[in-house]
Amino acid sequence: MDGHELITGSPATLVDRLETIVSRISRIDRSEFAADVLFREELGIDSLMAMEIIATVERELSIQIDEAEMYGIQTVGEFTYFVQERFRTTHG
Amino acid sequence: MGKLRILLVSPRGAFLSRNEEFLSYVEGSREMRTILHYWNGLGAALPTVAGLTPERHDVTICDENFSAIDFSAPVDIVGLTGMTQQAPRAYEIAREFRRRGVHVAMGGMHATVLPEEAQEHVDTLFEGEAENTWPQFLLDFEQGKPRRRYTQSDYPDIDLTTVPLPRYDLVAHNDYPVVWVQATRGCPLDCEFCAATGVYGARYRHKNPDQVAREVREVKRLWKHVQVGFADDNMFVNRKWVHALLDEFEAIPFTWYAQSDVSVAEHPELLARLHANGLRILLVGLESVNLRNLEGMNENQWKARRLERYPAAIAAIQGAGIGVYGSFIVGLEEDTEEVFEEIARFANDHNIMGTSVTILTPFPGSRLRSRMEREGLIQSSDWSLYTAWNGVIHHPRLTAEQLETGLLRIYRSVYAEEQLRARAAHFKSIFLELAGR
Repeated sequence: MDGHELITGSPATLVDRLETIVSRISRIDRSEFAADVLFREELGIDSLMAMEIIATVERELSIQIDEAEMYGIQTVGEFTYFVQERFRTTHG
Repeated sequence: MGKLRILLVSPRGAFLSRNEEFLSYVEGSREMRTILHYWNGLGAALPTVAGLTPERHDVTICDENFSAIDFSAPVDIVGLTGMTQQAPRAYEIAREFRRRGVHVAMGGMHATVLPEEAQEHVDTLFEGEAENTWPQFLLDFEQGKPRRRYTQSDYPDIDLTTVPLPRYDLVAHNDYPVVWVQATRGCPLDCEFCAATGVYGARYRHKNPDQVAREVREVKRLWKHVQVGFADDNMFVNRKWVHALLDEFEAIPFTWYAQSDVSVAEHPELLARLHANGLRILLVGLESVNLRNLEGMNENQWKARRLERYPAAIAAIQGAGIGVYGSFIVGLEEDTEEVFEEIARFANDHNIMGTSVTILTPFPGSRLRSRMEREGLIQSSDWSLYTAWNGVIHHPRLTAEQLETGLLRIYRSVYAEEQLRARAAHFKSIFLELAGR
């Protein structure tokens, strides 16, 4: 499924896709991804893994993310919201 | 005697430079603070020793970098370990406990390579690995006859596959960013500056893959999202064993760091498997970009013969999604004032994810120290300065101050904002490529 196939899907489908990517790269079970969980401090996701997540999300959801936009994002919920918004503005 | 109360202590360490400008830089640099945060932590030694202790005894571990020692605690034995730079603090701790009538034992790297010095400060000294000697000491102690010294070479060779599960549970209250696990011992390269060969020997040995997996599961049970770091000097020497290990790792959801020589880059299928099974950062001892320096490092010229392949090796490892943490040394014999610029340029040109630079340090037990002693090149044997970030040698062309300030110049260059941005873009292109496959 790529970004265009997701357009017609529900927000839940997008979140599901996002969590699958983060889980695959961080090798952390999706059940750990509560909205307020901190990427670095609580999940141990370092900057290299974060870059892998960003690149994979870009590729699989057909969106563009400037790394600088990520600086203020600390939690799973903030990241999910950011990607949802970017997906919406990109794909309508 | 029955139940013994045993306190194992890792003495406080400095891990840093005496250079105030350097300290100030580290304080203000988010990247440097992150690096120190991740690379420090408790080694596997004390949890391993605790694991070797019969269950009938009561063992606690104090990592003095995390909590203060309770000198008034009612204990029968204090066991100390430590690298060379921790030795002065270890001796202070020994003095305080012995004043209180507690039997103090010491093992680990420094005690092994300088047994005569360490023996002066403790009641019992251990030379070499502890698997045979620590249990024997406890039996002797219970019978009221602890010996002054236990030497591994007096006992049969240690089979790592029989080493019990380290007692990580005893330090689980400490909030480590990385927990170090030991899967192998020994390194065939025998670099001149390295003291580890004197302790573990050149013969490469490893634990069973399922045994390592059990240790990783135990660490992940105790610290849910900690990074696992493998403390092994050169983890991927035995490729067949590594593949068997990765078979075990497939079933464990975790990410990890390791150390290896550059030869792993020659095996693209292995690199892909390592990344798929959680390897995220690989510390690689590149040491120098000067051929003549590398020629003097290994008797078989192992590193010198690979210098030309360094760029391709870095590209191969990083191209597999594994960040290279390149380790370099300044103050090698052929270095000039240019070395700082050369290393910074190499690291920046090849987008090395992380760079660790240390100053050549003649650690006790290394061939380097023996040679430098003969040649009168050792400036200081103040062990508290042996962090590898202080100049303690007489170099033919560079003063200690030049080495320390030059080190700082490299760090300032490789962790400058524009370099961080360039590296981030480089890795993004790698991950986009990998995601597209």
